[in-house]
Amino acid sequence: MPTIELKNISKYICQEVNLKTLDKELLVLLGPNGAGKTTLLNIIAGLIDYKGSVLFDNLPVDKLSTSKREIGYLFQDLVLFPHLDVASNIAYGLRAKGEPLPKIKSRVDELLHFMKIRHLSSRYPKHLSGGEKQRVALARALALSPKVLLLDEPLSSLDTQTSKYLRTELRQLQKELGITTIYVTHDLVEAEEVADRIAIIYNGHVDQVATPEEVFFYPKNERVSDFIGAPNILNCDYCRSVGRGIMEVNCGGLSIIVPHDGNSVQRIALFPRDIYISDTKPPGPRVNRFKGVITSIKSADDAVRLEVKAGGNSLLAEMSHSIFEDMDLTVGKEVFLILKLRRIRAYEGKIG
Amino acid sequence: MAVEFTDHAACAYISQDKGWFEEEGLKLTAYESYVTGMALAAALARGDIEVAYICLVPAINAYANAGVPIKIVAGTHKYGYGSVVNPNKIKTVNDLEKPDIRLGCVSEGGAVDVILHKTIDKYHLSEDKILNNIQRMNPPKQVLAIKMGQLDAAFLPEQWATMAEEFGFEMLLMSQDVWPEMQGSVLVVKEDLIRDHPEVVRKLVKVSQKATNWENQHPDEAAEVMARQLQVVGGSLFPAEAAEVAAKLEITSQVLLRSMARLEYTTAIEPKVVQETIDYIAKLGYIKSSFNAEDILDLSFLEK
Amino acid sequence: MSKLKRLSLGWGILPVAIFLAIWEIVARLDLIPGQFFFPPFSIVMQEFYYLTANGVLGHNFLSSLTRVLIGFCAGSIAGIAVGIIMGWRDVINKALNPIISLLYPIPALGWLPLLMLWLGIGEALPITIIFICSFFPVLYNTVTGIRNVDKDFIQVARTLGASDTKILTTVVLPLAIPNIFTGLRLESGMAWRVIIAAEMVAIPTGIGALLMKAESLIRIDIIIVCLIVLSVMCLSFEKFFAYMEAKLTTKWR
Repeated sequence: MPTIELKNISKYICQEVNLKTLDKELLVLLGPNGAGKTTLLNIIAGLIDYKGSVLFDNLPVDKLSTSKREIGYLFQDLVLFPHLDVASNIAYGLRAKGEPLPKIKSRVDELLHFMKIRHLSSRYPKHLSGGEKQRVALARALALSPKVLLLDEPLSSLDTQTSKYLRTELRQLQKELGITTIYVTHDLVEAEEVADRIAIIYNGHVDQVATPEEVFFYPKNERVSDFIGAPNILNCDYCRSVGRGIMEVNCGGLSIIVPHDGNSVQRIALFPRDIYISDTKPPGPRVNRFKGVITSIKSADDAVRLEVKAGGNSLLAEMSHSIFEDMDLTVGKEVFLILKLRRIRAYEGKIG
Repeated sequence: MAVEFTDHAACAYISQDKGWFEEEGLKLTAYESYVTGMALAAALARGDIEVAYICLVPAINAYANAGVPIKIVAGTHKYGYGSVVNPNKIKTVNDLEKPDIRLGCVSEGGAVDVILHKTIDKYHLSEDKILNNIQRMNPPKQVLAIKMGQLDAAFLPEQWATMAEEFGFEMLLMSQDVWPEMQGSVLVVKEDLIRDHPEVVRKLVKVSQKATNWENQHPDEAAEVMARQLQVVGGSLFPAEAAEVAAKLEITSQVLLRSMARLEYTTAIEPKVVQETIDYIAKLGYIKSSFNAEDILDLSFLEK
Repeated sequence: MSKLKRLSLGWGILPVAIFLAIWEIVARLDLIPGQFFFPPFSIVMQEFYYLTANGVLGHNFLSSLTRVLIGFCAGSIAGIAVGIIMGWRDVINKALNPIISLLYPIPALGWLPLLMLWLGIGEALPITIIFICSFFPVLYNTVTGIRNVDKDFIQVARTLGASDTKILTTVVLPLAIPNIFTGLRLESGMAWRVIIAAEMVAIPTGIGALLMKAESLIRIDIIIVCLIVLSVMCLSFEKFFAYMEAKLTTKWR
């Protein structure tokens, strides 16, 4: 399973892009729409021409046509052949290659079993649900045992439930097969859950390539940080375990409960939208509730952002305009903060 | 009134020319010329034509097939059809069977087509071979085709048959050779005219007789009148393409003289011959079944 | 047949039955003014029987049918073949499109005078006219069908290792079939209309020729028989192609 390298790739919005994956890694290309993610995928696949060089395992593949590059590509709309049933869709690549029938049959069976869609083998795409189509498309892409797997927003057309479920499945699959995979998405949460490493792409530039935690906790520049959503990052002086999967940390004088299982927590991150502000004492248990003072209020198009000083920390909170107008909040006012426990991310290791 | 664009309807043309209809107090509200009897028959089926000088066969067809309520009140002539051939290619009747011969004839339902079948019968020719060679077109088109060398033989009514001689063709057979006593054209009127205005019918027959006698007595003058009339009328033929074709061919009085000599102009008409005709075309399948000649004849207006 | 199907079939037949009844009554009672012979439906059916029994209808029908089949098959096959080449290779499409666009709008019958001079009157004439009448629309529909296939399918097939030819035969053509069949379906009916007209002008055998003979003899009943044959054939051919198209595509459409 090769490493994939892009050297000085230029096409459309991408200019002089350099990127390298590790062997057997699942690299997520994360970025907003129009950033050039699909373009890069197409370049790796050889579907469009480009300037620069693509290398698999340090060998340039630029002269090879798409069919010779041995890649499996999952298109954004899945693009199953509507006139072929599931089995024939999966078998397509094998038939195109001219493999003998018994071999085709056994491989298709293998994949149907692997993706748990045996019962669908003679159905036609128009009778498949979103999740089922996904699996068929994946089976089809894997049929020829490709060295490289390219996934273009594979979960974008699915509902949240199915999407969550398939996310986990995809990751397990990739680990099992050990195929070097490049996964494109614009969804942060998805990227976080699936990736070994994330490459942040913005306007045709690769801004940062790092593990998810590194990206969240140590965004390389403001662009990345903006894209991720500018989380609050607090350094922790002290931590101890208080139960299974729960730890207590102390950050700047605040005692915060975080969901984590491990040894030591260096930093925690919390997004502004996961901090709630109330002008009156909130009901319920006293976990992660603090008092603070508003130091600044900034109104933007989509929300109101408030800077609050609590303990030794300056936290950024976010609320909608309507909620803001309901409360009477001014600079200097004392308020209550609630930190949503489940949304707190804890970071253990060293800086990458 | 509707007439055929041939010298068969000579008495009509001449009467028109000499104003004999008006003399008798007959005013024609319409005077139409048709290139073929079949086209005329179709016009008869319409309401506004009440009198026609038309070949016998299409008249019978109109009566039997379309139920047009007409009666034959007088004849106009006997004979008046012929087959003309290219003398270099065709020497005898049997030569007509040769596979590369191009034979012109009008559509089924015309008197000429009947003559063709009579010819086949009389000379025991192969019907298949002859029918294979036929190209259906109306008389002026055939003559034009002969002029341009596109036909080797043609079955035509007069005056067209004689006109073909102008272009090097020779008359192989005339209707007299094939069908003795054959009735040519007839004068037909609608039944209501007989019922409502018998005196009009009487006058029509009278004029026709007068014209017929005059033709027999003054053949040269008759030919001249016909030439003049046909030339004038030629431009307004139905269908329009026939008019165009007719315009290309000149009909001279010499041709007409020769042509008219081949007809026997008489208003007399024999029921026996009419019956023979009806039976024959029933046999050919033009009409569904034979019927009594008396049903279509009303000869009471003919002065004996 | 299920009750529902029986019911809908009944609904389809009822208007036709009413129409025939009205025809019969109107004709027998001579209700249409000025028309001297309007045969009732029963007489027409009688004549239909006679013509079939004595072989006249059969003989002429076969002539017309043969011409339509040969001309239409040849024209369609040629149209599909050229259409595939033009649809698949853009270069050829750009080259041939101007010529095709100029020739396409000429009605098939418009070619008749020219072909009469070039081919004379024989079997070649009607067959060529039908060929032309079928060729252009089928070509056009084939090209459109192929070019309308979503480019994504072609790209997917490429990633799966298929050669260009394979992509054409296994992906593009099957997906273009609906368009192609629409062309075939529409033109098959058209071919019949055209052959009748061509036969009326120049050819001695065939349903069109029979029509002309009937006109000469003022046999309106025979004329109506010919028109019924024409209508039935148009309908049958169109239904046949609709059926074939459904058979090939319902599974996945």
